Amino acid sequence: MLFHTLDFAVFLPTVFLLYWFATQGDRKTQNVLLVCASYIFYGWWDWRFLSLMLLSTLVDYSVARALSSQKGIIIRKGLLGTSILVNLGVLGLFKYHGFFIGEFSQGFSFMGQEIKAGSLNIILPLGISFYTLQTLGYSIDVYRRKVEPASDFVAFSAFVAFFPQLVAGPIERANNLLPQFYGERRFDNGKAVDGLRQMLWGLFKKVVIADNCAPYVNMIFANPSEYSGSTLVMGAVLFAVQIYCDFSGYSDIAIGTSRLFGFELKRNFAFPYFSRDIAEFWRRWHISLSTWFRDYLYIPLGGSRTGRLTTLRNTLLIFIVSGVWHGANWTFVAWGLLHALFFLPLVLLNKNRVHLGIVGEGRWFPTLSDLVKIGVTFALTVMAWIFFRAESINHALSYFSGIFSVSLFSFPDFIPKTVILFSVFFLAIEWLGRGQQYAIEILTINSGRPIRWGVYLGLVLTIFFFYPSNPQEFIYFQF
Amino acid sequence: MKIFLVKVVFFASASLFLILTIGIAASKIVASQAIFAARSETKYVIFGHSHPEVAFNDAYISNFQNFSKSSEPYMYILPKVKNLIHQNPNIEVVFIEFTNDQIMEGWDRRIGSSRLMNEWMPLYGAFLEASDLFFLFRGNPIGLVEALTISFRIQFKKMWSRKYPAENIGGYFNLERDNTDSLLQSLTESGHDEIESGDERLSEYHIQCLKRIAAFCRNSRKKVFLVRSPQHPSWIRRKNESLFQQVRKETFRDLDFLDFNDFPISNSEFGDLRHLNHRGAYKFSVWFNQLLEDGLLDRGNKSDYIEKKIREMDSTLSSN
Repeated sequence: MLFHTLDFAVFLPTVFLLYWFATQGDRKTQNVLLVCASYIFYGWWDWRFLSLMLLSTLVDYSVARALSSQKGIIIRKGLLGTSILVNLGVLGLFKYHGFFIGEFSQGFSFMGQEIKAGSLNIILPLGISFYTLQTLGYSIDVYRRKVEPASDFVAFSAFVAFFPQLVAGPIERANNLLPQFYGERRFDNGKAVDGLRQMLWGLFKKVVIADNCAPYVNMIFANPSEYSGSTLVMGAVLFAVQIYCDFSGYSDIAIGTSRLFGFELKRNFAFPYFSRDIAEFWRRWHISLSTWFRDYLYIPLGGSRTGRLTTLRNTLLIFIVSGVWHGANWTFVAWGLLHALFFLPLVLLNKNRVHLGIVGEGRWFPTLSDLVKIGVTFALTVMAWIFFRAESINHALSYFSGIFSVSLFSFPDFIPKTVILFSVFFLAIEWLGRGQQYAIEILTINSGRPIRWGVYLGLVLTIFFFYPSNPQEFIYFQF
Repeated sequence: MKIFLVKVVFFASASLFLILTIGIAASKIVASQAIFAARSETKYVIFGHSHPEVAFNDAYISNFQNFSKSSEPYMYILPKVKNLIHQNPNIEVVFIEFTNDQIMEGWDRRIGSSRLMNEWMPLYGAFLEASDLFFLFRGNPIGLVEALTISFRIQFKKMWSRKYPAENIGGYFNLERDNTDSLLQSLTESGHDEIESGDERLSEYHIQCLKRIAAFCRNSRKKVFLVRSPQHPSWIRRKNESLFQQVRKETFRDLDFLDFNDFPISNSEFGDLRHLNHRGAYKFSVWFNQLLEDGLLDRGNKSDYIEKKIREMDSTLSSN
């Protein structure tokens, strides 16, 4: 079920009303309802893959329970190993087996040996990369004794399957989300209104900006050789806008929906395109994933505490893993490597924690120096996005060769005026609201009712009338 | 909670009201600005579904333009006819396809199907009359809401981008396929025919819309003719011929009927049992052009003249 469809428009109010009225505030009944709703939400897409989610839930619940009663280090490691093996095994089977089989047979044919490797033609279960990391993180936290193992199976199932963030995050930590399933939940008018507002803003980003960028991006990336260099640059920039609005829009809707049910999810984006260097970008982009890799991979590998060389190795590894996590394609590896290339000099120069605050805080406009830094950082991320969006490395390279031609200095082949108009409006709101949790807060929180309602109605009307004829799935659903 | 729900319902109602207001306003603006252009030399136009779409190749018929479109019901043809006639005073004669399948109830159901509504409403939603909307609402209220949603968006986007020329309003379609022999063989082997179950009753609304088209053309002082383009003798719909003739005589007795059903076409000139392919279209269009040039439309007994010309064509082909 997609957030921006009629199905969800019926599903959400139904679950909301049942949750607050039919359960009579009973926490256990509410959790049962959330589990059922989440399974319906997921099964709407393909009910067969519910079994995978159930498997992951059962394994991690049992492993954590066993971990709590075991003191022997070998058994505890064995239990954790089981969780890692099952979660990563399932992920590997469904997400990466085709890639490895392909690379394996290609490697042999390169050496003059032809081998016929069969593929299982398995489709990628929705959200598997997200809930796998979430449950794996839980098992690791229990192993590290940072989190108490869940004793309530229903609450744990709700934690794994919680429908707002099930298919594309934010990837939650057990110590943040799980206790919320244990506690009593009371309806909070302020939170609910805030949730609806964030959902509205997320929908605007997804439907009006991302989905209206998509046709142009798809057209330009499908045949880069047919367009001038300037058009290719425009295509890459539009993709940067599309992927940000698509993914952060999803996160906004997920966080907002959770608030309607009395839950607080982690923030996933913090205005990343206003970053002044790549390190700041990674503190602001897909925060739940980058912090997951930091806490469960980078730090266990030694982080930055064991010398410069190890730090560089660990940083490089994190970016490669982050690329591979996105998909089984060399383009994602190249995307990760490119970011590592931009990031490592900052680590070497010890300048990766320079920009920690809000850019241009207390000012209407950024300083020239900040503006240049923001521009350069954005240009670097756009370059990396070309690899991310391309079908193959060759495709990305031909896109780049198209950009760096004489036609780079020509006028673009076409100008998508409406998309640009909305993007500029969006950018302005983002800039104004960069100090908030999400941008639209700035226009509504301290304004009178007429302005607030005017903004909300304006957003609803824009979403309705600019809803694309071919609505796109969320980009991160494929990961 | 109560306050929250009241606010949400109030906000949703206000949003709905504004969407409806803007959607209707956009539809009105698009309806008043829409451009339905025919060629300046066009005197004759034809409307209908896929049969005339593939039969009348207007490249071979002088001063003639084909505006037929596959699966297009009369309800959506009506606004097209109205706009084309209003905006193109050079149009003098309107041909409307009227054939055996178009009297059947299946068309009423098809008009109200979500699939067709979603296809046609974006094109003609701005022009539909209240009676049409009521008919659609009675048959498929949810489908209508969905189709209106799409239509409002499309009309708004047209208004926003100021793109008023009507798109996809039909034209000759060059059908390449040549499946008739194999189709006949498989039908013979399977012993099946093509008729749809539950489709034996007469259409009400679809035929009413045809009457409205004819009335509009006459009020606009245009000549109107019902036309039946060539069909294969084995086409299953021809079995309702007596019912078809009854409807024609009772409902459209004041309209001339130009019947080309028996125009001699070989199997290789049919795409399938109901559609001419490009070879058949060429043969028929050249012949039809000659009829127009010979003054078919000014003759007293057009049916006899057509029959005579078909017989002549038949004998010419036999002697060859």
